[in-house]
Amino acid sequence: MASLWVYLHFPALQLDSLFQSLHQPAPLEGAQPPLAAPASTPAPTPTSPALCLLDPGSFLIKQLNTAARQQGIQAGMTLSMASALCHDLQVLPYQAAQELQYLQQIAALLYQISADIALDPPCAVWLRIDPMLALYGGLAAYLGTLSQHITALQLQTQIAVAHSAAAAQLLCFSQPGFVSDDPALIAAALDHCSLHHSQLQSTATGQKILQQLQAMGINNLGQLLAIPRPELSRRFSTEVIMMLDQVAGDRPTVSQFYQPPEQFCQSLELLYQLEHTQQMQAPLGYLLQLLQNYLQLRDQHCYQLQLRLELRDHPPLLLNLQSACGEYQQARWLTLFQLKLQQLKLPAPLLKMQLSAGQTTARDGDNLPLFDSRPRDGAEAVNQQSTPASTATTVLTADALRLRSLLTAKLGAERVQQPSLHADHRPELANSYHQTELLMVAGKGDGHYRANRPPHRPSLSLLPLRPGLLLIQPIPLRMQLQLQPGLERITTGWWDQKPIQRDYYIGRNEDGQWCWAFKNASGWYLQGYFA
Amino acid sequence: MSTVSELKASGQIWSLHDQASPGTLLSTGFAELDQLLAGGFPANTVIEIHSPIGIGELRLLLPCLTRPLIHAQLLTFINPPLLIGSQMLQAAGLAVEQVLVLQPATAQDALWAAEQCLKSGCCGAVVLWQSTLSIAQLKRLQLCAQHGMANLFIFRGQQQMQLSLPIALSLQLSPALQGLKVQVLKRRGGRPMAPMLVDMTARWPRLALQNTAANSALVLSHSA
Repeated sequence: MASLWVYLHFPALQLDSLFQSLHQPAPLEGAQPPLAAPASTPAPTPTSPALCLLDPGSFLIKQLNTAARQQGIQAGMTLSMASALCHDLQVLPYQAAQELQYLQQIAALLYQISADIALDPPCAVWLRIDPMLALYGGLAAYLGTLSQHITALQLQTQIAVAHSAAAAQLLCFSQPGFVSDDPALIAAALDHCSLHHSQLQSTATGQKILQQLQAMGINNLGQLLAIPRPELSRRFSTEVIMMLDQVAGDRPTVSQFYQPPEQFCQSLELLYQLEHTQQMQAPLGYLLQLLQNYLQLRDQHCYQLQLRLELRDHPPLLLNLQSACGEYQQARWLTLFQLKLQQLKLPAPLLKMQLSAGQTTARDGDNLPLFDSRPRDGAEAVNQQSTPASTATTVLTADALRLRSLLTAKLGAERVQQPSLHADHRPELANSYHQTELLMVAGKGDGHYRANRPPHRPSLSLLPLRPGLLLIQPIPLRMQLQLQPGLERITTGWWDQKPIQRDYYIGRNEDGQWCWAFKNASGWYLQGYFA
Repeated sequence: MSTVSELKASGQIWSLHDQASPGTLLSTGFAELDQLLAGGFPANTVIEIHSPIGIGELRLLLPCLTRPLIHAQLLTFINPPLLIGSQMLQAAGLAVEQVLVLQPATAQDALWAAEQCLKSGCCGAVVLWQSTLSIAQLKRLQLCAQHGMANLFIFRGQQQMQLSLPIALSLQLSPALQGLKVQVLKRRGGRPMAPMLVDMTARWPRLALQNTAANSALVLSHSA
């Protein structure tokens, strides 16, 4: 067998996806880790409302669910007719871009079981399966795996198999469910295919040709094939020949195969407008599950996520979330998001959310201490002096980084600070703080933060005596101090326009506080306390 | 009698005889204080300290705070009244990267942050400045401290006539010329003892005065 193609058509892709993502918010981590597809519960429950999608251009029904079909509604009806048939019909606008995104999502999932995937927008995919059959051991085994994943998607699906891409497409539309790799059977089935399902239908000139063919009494492919080629090329334009070549597999139909995206970006249209942040948990969990699948397959983790919330009559809100140690698990990200969302008040109802991942890097195992007595399994504290304090670098464990992410998410980055040391004699500059920079940490290739200690730490006794609590700015001294003998003069800063000349004293006030005060040209000031 | 045994069962009353096993003790780094506390601070629990600001209360804790950081863990300060000096941390032998300073907006956030830090298992110690604390909050913090094997030091204001808390150790600090005067307000399994002077002269000779402050000068601020 030269080649074999599967054509998968999802007649109500946008509608089904919309429905599924809302009612099956968080796909469970099931028995199929590569896809982690939702558990196979029966598709739309009987109580589901009749839903349909309306093409905003032509005002015709574009897609509909089973409930709507049971009411007698069909695709292509006008809205007034459909609403006459079903009084509580819910109508949503059809969005091609949205549907394309779902299609790409499906391609991403199918990419795990099949290598060559081509999109046929708006709602179908081709799979070239002849290279895959050796791997799966035959068509039946392959289709078994495929259908397992397809049913998990809970979409209305039509499938057909043929020896060329165009033939599979033709068969799928005219005889959905045709599955065989026998050339004779395929050829027989193709003969009965109505030409109205062929690609000629999609172009204006093609439609004209179809009318001509119909006038000649040629309705299906078999009749067309019976006409000798020279005759055909003389009577009709080249499009017919091209179509026939494609069906025969002599001319390629598919020019470009699917490539998985480099960046994770998924959005979710909400069926109902959300007004409270607590309600966002389920749809957000769904998006994060997609992220987890994406990252897990690549063995990567991610340091930064951006959530874009599109609101009604309001500019979109952007939420940035960072993790210091890189995460891929849905639950961990969800915890961080919950902390962030607690502080958020939605100014307007939420329509759509979009999750995009910033930087992703290869995952290496969590750096857990092997001999530490602190794991949370209730081990008794053992006094261990195994690690000498003189090691040049200290590796902060993933736990520490995770704690930092958690605190930053809840309290805000500006409230989580880290002291830093600067080589300056001015106390205000030497002791200045900086916010913990999670991304800077992330930039360090291996994903672990190495806290560099000074390589040759000066002997501690040589360091000057400095107070534990400092005022942000010195304030005029308004108390009596009993000074210790000796002073320290700091004269510096002549190079950066912030010169100081101060004589620092240590003194004790009447309350017994040990103060660090200085005297300069304008008087006495208090700088801090030796707490 | 039943009420007394109920209170005992809930841990609000304890007597010398039925004291629990002392558990791990952390040396305070000061011989006098170790003696006063029968070995040191109790580990993995909450310790309450009543003290004015700036008399040497942090210095009293420094030897204990810096000790567990051998294991590359974090030291967290929550809600310090002023900036924590980096140079002081360096002089105490800490890498500043191991220190987190949190300034939560509300007392509730501060308690939440303390719980998270204690629970995480990667903080050696947490120092919290907070004046009010309820029994329920304390219990939660104690559980977290036990769980994450960390110590929580709470600096509270001087007003000690508050609700009596079921706390393992409560200290009252007051200034002294050579260091600090430490009074044990409450210690699980300990009997009341007289206040004791912790001499810091050896460690910080410049932050101590001799009784006869002969060579010191009095300074009056210009506004006084």
